[in-house]
Amino acid sequence: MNCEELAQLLPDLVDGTLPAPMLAEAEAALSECPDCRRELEAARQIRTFLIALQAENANLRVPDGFEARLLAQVHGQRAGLELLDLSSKAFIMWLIELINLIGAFIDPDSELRASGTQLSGA
Amino acid sequence: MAALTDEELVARCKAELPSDTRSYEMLVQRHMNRVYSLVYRVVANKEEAEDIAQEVFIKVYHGLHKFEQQASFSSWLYRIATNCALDALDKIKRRPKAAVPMNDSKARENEDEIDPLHLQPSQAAGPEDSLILAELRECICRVLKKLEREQARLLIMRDFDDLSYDEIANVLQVGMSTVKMRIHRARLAFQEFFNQFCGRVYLNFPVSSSGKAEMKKE
Repeated sequence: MNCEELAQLLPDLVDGTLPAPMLAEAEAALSECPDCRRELEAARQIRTFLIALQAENANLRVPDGFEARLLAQVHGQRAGLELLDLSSKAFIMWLIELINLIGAFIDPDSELRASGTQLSGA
Repeated sequence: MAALTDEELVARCKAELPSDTRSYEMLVQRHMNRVYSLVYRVVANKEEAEDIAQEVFIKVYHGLHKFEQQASFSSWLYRIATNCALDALDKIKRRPKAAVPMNDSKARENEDEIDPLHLQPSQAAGPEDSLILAELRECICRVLKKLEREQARLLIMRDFDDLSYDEIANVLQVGMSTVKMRIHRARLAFQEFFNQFCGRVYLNFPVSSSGKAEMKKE
C-alpha cells in the first residue's frame, strides 16, 4: 500500500471503521509514511476533542414553551398574510375608484361620452 | 396504530396546510430537540439557539409544499438547520469576552510544550472553568466562521452531531468516499485555525488526570 492509497483510508482510520484485514495493512503502511501519521494524529485529535466537548449537550431539550411560541409565530404570520391579502384587495378597489375620479375631474365629458356611446350602441 | 412516518406526515402537511397544522405540529415535536441541540452546538448560546431553531421550523412550514422528498425529510430539515446556524454565526457579532484570569503561570511557562487539543475538560468544572469553557466555545465559533461553509457544515454533521458518513452522504447527495475525504480535509483545516485562534484560551482550561498525562507533546 503506497502513501496515496493510505491517504484514502485515513478517514476510516480516524473513525475506526476500517475492516480488520485492511486495518493491519494500513497500520503497516503508516510506519512508512510520516505525513500520513501526522495527518492521522491531527484528524484524530480534532474528532476526539469535538465529540468530547459536545457530549455534555447530548440530551439538550428545547426550552419550555418552544412549540407554543413557534405555533404562535406560524399562526400570526398566516393571519398577517390573510389580512394583507384582504387589505391589498381593498387597496386595488380604492385605486380604481381614485383613477376614475381623477379621470372624471380631468375630462368631465369622458364619462358622459362613455355613457353616450353605450346608449347609442344600445 | 403505528406512528406515521415523516414522509407520511409531510404528505399530510401538503394536503392540510395552512388550514390544519396538526401534522406539521407532529413533525415539530418529533424533531425540535434535535434541531435545537444541533443549533446550540454551533452558536453556543441558548437564546440564539432558540431563535434559530424557530426560524428553521418557520422555513420548513413555508417550504413543505415545495419539498419533493428526493432526500428524506430529516436530511432536508438537517440541511436547513445547519445553514441557518451557519448564517446566524456569520451575523452574530462577537459576544463580549468572558473575563478569564490568565493566572495559571505554570501553564504559561509550559506554553510551548502544550498541545491544546490534548487537554480534556475536567469532570468537576467550577465557575471559573465554566467561563473558560464558554470562551472555548466562542473560539470554536470563530473557527467555524473561518472555515469554508462546506467544511464547517461537514464538521458539524460528523463531529458535532455524530452523523454517520452514510447519513451525511444522503444529506449532501454525494458519494461516500467523497464525503470521507472532505471531512478529513475539514478536520485538518479546523485544526490549523484552532491552533491559530484557540490555543491560548485552552491553556487555561483545567484538565482531567488523563488529560494531564497527555499534555506534553509526543
